[in-house]
This record gives sequence, C-alpha cells and structure tokens, in this order.
Amino acid sequence: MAFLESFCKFINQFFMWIAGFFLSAMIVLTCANIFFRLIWGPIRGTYELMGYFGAIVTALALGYTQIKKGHISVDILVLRFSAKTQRVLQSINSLICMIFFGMAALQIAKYANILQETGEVTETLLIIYYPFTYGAALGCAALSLVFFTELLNALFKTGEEEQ
Amino acid sequence: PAPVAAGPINLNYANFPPAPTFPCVQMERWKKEVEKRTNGKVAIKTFPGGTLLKAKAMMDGVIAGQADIGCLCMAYQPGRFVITNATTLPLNPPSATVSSLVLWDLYKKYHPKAFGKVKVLTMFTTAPFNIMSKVPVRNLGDLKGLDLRAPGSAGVVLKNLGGNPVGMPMPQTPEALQKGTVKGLISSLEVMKDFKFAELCRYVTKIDVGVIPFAVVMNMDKWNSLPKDVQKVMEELGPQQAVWTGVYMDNHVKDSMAWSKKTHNIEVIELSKTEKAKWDKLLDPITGKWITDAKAKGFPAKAVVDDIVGFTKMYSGQ
Amino acid sequence: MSLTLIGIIGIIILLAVLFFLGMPVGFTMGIVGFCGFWYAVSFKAAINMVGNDIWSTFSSYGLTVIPLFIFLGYLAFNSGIADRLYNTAYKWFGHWRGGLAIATIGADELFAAICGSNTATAATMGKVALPQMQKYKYDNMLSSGTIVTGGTLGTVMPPSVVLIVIGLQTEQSIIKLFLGGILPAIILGALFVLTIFVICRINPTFGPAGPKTGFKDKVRSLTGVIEAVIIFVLVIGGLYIGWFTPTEAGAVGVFFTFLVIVPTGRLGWTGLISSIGDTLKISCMVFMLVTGAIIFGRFLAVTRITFMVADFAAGLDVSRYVILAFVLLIYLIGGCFIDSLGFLVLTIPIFFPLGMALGFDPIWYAIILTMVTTMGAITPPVGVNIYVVKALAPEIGLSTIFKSVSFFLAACIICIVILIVFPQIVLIIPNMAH
Ligand code: NA
Ligand code: NA
Repeated sequence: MAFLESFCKFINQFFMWIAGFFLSAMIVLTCANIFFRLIWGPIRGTYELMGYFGAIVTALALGYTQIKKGHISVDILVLRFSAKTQRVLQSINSLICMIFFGMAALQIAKYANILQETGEVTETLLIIYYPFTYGAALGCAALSLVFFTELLNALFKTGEEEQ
Repeated sequence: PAPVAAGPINLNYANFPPAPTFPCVQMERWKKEVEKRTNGKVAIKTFPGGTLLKAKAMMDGVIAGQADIGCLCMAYQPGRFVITNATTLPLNPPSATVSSLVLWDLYKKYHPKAFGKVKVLTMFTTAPFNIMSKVPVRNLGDLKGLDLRAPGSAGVVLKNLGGNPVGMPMPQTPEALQKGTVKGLISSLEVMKDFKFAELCRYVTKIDVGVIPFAVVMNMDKWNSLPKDVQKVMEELGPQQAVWTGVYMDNHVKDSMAWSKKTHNIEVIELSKTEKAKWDKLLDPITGKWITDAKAKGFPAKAVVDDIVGFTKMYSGQ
Repeated sequence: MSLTLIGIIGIIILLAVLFFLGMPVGFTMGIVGFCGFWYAVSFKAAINMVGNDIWSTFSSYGLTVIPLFIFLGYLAFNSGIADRLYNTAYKWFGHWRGGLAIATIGADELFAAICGSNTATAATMGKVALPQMQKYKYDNMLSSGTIVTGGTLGTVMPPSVVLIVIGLQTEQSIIKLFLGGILPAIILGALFVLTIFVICRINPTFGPAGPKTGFKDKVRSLTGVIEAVIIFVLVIGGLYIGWFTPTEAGAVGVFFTFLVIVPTGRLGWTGLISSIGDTLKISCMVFMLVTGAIIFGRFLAVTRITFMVADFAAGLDVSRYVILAFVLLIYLIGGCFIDSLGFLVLTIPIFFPLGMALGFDPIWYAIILTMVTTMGAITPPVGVNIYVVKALAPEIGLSTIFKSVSFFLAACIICIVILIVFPQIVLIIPNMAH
C-alpha cells in the first residue's frame, strides 16, 4: 500500500510538471501571437492550440489538486460527525469518485479513439488532435487512482499510522 | 429506465446555435410538420443553444442516445465528413436551395460511412459565401493582405486569393469591425441584416464560393423503434425539409440585402468575366488538392466533385 | 414518474450528497447530474455526456482565460507588489484615525485591479497589513474585519475569476462584465472606508493614528503603485480598446508582471514554482466546478426544470424586485453554508434564466449576483476569506472576526441597494466601450 501511495504521488507530481510546462507554453504562444500579429500576421491556429493546451493543463492537474485537497466541499456538517463516521463517509466518497472518474477516463479514451479512427482534424491547422484527448483521459485516470489510494487509506489505515 | 407513459412518442431534438438562427428555425418547422403529419402521434421537444448537446458533440451524442435527434454542422469537424464536406469547395453554388438539394442527392448517392451509425433525416446548407467589407474589393489587388474574418473553408479561399484570413467567433466580429481589427468578413449575406454588418460594411463583392453543410441525424435504435407510418412521414419530409430550408435561407438573404441597400445604401460589386476568371484560377488548386487528399484516403473524390458540378447544373436549370 | 419530479428529486439528492457526504461541490454536481441523466434517459447517453462535457469544457478556448488570470494573481501575490502598494497607501492615510485600515482598503482596491481572486487579495493584504496594524495597536476586531472584507474587492474589481465564470456560463461578454465591475468596486471600497470611519469615531481606541509622513515622502512613495497601475491599464485598457481577447489580456498581464519582477529578483524559483502549483490547483478546482455545473445543467435541461422555474417566476403577479430580493436572500443564506463560487455555479442554470425572464439587464444582473456571491466569502460559518485571515493570525478568535465582519456586511448590502436603485453605475462604462 505504501508503494501504491508513493507511486500515485509520483505520477501526479510528474503530471503536475507537465501541466506547468503547458501553462507556460500557453503564455508564450499567446504573447508570440500578439507580437507577430502586430508586426506581420497572427500565428495560424493559436486559438485552437490554446484550447488543447488548456485541456492538458487542467486534466493533468486533477490528481495533484485532489492530493492537495484543492477541490472545495461543504464539510460544515461532516466535521461534526465522529471520527469513525467521517471515515465511513470518506470511503463512500472515494469509492463513488473513483468509479466515476474511472468511467470518465474510459469514455474520453473511447472518444479519442473515435477521433483517431474517423480521421477528424482541427479546423484551422487541419492537424490531428486526438493525442490531447488521450491526455485528458490519462488525467482522469490519475484522479481515479488518487481516489483508490484514499479509499484504501480510509478502509485500512489505523489512527497511529496516520500520525 | 425511461418513464413509460401512454400518449405520444416523445423525441428530444438537440441543436447547437441560439434559437433565432436558421438551423433552429428549420428545427421548429420540422417539429411542427412532423407533429401535424403524424396527427400528434409524435411530440418533439427542442433544445436550442447547446443546452443538450454542443456542436462538435452532436454526432456521438446522438449515437449514444444523449439526444434522439441532433442537428450538426459538418464543417466543424474536418476529416470526419469528407464526402459531404466537399460542398464547401469553391464550385460556384448559386443558392442555398440548389446547394441543399445537391447535398441531399450527394448523400443519397454515396451513403457515406460517416453516417453509418445514424438515420439521416435531412441535410441543408447555408447560402453561398460572399465578401462584405468596409473598403471596396473590385479586384485581386484590393484583396491583397486585407484582414477579413473568414473561418474554415472561407479562410482557405481568402488565403488563395491573397487576403489575410482571421478566425474569430461571429459574436465578436461586430466589435472587431468597429475597432478595425478586421476590415470585413466572408460569410453568407443574411448577416448583413442579422448582425447589422451593413452599418459598417458598405461594400459587398459577389463571389458565391462554397457553402456550409448541415445534417440532421437520428439515433438508429430510436429510428428502428418508430412505427412504420411515422418513419414514412419523416422519410418524405427529408428532401422537402432540405428545399424548405434552402428557400428560407435564400429569402432571408434577399430580405437582408434589400434592407441593406435601402437603409445603408450599400454597393454590390459584381466581378467582370475576365476578373472572375482570374479568381477562379487561384481557387482551382483548392479543389485539386482536395481531390488528391480525399483520393489518398480512398474516397471517390473525382466523382464526388463531378457530381456536385452536375447536380448544381441540373438544379439551376442549366 | 414525471420528468419534473425526477428533476426535483435530483436537486434534493444533490444537496444531501453535498452536506452529508462532504463530497467536493464540482464532483457532486457531475455525479448527481450523471445519475439523473442515466435515470431519465439511459446509461449510454449519460456516460457519453460526461466524457464529452469534460473534454469539451477542458479544451474550450474561452476557459483558458481562467488559469492565466489566476497565474497573474499569484505572481503579483508572490512578488511583493502588494508591499509597495500598501506602503504608498500607508504614507498617505496612516496618520488618520483608522488610517492603516483605510490604507488597507486603498491597497486592496489597487491590488484587486491586477488580481482575480478574493482569497488571494485577502491573503496578500493579510500578510502585508496585519503585522503593521498589530504594531500600531489596532484592535483585532478592526484589523481582521478590514482584511477579510477588503478581499471581496478582488472579485468585484476586474479582473475577476467570478466574473469570468459567470460570463462563460451565461455567454455574456467577459469584457463587458469586467468593465461593469469597476465602478461598483470603487463604491464598495468607499463604503468600507466609511465603515472604518464610523467604527473609529464610535471607538477611537480601535484604530489609533499612525505617525505622520512628510509631503515629499508621500509623493516619493507614489512610485510604489506604478507597476500595479501599468499592469491594470495594459490588461483592462487592452480589453477596453479591443486589442486583446480576455485570454490574451491574461497572458500579457503575466508576461508584463514577469518583466517587472524578474529583474528585481523579488520572485525567485520557489516563488515561481509555488505560483505555478497554486495556479494549477485553483484553476483545476474552478474547471471542475464549471464542468460539474454543465453536467448538472444538462440534467436539469432534460427535465425541463430550468424552463419551468423561469416561466413560473415570470408569471407571478408581484414586482420583479420582490423576486430579485428573494433570489438575493437565497444567495445570502446559501453563501453562509456553501463556498460562494460553488454556490454560484450551482445556481446559475436556474437563477440566470429567471433574471432574464424578469427582463433585467444581463450585465447588471451578473454584477449584482457577483456582489451577493462575494458576500458569501465573508459570512460565517463557511466564509473562505475568514479562514484565510484566521490562518494568518491564529491568535485572533473566530468570534472576533465574525463580529467585525458584520459591520462591513452592512456596507455590502447598502452597495447592492445603491446598484439596484441606480443601475447606470454598472452599465455606464460597458456601454461607453461600445
Ligand atoms: Na480583481
Ligand atoms: Na459564507
């Protein structure tokens, strides 16, 4: 379990670096587009590329955000329950979210596969874009993995271990 | 489990643009016609503005049954609808009515694999594309380096003619025109009135290149579950709806141009025969390149182009 | 079962999962929307919807504006721009009674003009101004309340993540929303200053006057606002003139902030890395909220609930302002218990069409919703700004902060009333730009 947890942490940290890289790329691309637009002409396909870069930024940050407890929730009532109840609720939560994002990952991968098979390309550059879609699926899968480790923790980890 | 109720068969019809636009106008007309002709046996709930499915999600959403019926714009997904998207090529379509019929016949003749998983209810196109601009465009020289809003296939046309295509969403275009970020646009002419472009673009250059094709598709299981008489009504309505939408579009363009001439005194520029020949010569490679590419992917590209030209001649009464 | 009933049950289940399971708001909306759609239509349709909406939301160009403006805020936060702003405001107002608190609001107003989030604004000013106010023996009641509420200017003054989210969800021009927020933010700030004035008049020991500064020093200190003003003019001015799309304005803002702070060495690698990490975390959270709301909205659409609520309200035989007051009350109460941005995206599919059915101007209505939403960030028990300040100053009791916030809430409500009576305040700048 310790192995799984550190593997999950490593993967999501690694994805976060890629997300950060694409975030920087978005800024560079947009500024370059504005600059070239002023002097001779815009960089073709900037808008569509920005959308796909943004997809990678968000998707690959999903697991990292969950590990850092960045997704807001309404815990005002839950915090009043006993520690044991909270653990039960936590495992239900993790289980539901793990299944949901696992299915979402599969579905997005399936969609990417359709894009690949039907030969769909972007509107301006007329290039394939399904690799980005697979990237988004990967991000959801990583989030599902985070919930899996959280589920195991809620179920099996004892109080002492947590400290 | 869907709630089972006695009474009419309920069908959800998803559309992506806002309610007042022509794809939604034809949707409401189709709904009314079907409900009338089936004597209320079928009830259709319409979802305009992407509330149920967005443009690029339409095809797969209908296949999965997220909506029973969906209206999609094929030009948004280049590469996926190769044969029907050939109607975007600069082959001098005269009107939306003719193009819609050509598109429908093209579909009927080739039954493209892209539509294999759905039932196609109808197809139609926009009116042909023309240049609207703040400065007169009378020849290729006027077009050189001119910034015009021209997405997708219109952008390719403009690029070949020496202009500078700018891609931006339609709602942003009036502001960009006002601020001079773009000097005009290439689109079908109903926008002169609908978006009040005539206030800013006092010149229209008639070039009639390309149209944008749309398809209305239905979930296959849903189609198979319909009673025979309902299917028959919808089958019959297919080509009729294509014509109705084409005529609606053409009248809309006529209204728009009459209004623009009357209210803003715009000038319509017709190209001379020799000038037009020069333009066509620059545009020919687009079709040539499309044929090469589509052929490489295994499509009967040459035959498709010949058919578009042939059908167009036939329906224009030439 | 009728579709309407399915929709109502869906909403009840949603609230139950939110409160009793403590599942994140965005996930809850997505999952309940998915299950509802599954029940009303089919599993295949529902899972297709989830996959497609996640992909199309994540890859939409319009939404790329979110990470860029959040990044801009964090860069400003980590680079010491706020220190210099506060220093200037302090030199000008510090010698007044309550002057440090007034200076905080002034610095808030300027910082809000380059930062898109209320928590970042509160956290920044808390770090900068709290120690100063403690040094000059300000009462915790005044200092903490000022920091907590001053942060709300971050969402009303453009750029603003809340305005971006409203704009994207309701298909309004983000540029117009941004421009519409400027005057309300200035009025809100003025009312906060007035509140501080009144508090210090009633109880002078709350905010003793600071040391006087010579006129020359005052003028010299003005250099501290230059970078913030330039960034604001570049970003919002560029939007106003139409040079940039909102996304481009965000990128230009980030680029320019880099130009300003990298040579000064005020940012450093750790600052940069933590800015990127925080940006990813916050924008990912916002994206999940938006995606969840879209999925839940599709479920509501297929049950036709949204259409019905709007029709029902439009058919009521009372003044539309009574209905508006009712809506605002719901936001106030909801804002107490649910994170304000989460509550906003949750309710927009219902309350925005309602406002449109009542014939309100969309930009004005959006700004009013933003004002009342941002109040949620400072109302107990769930008010994110309160906890930001509590984290910075653990020695201040929560009850003290709650009490002090209540003074400022009056200012917020007065501001909303002013905007309802004089809608021109919101609309004048956006209309001028057109
Ligand atoms: Na702001
Ligand atoms: Na609150």
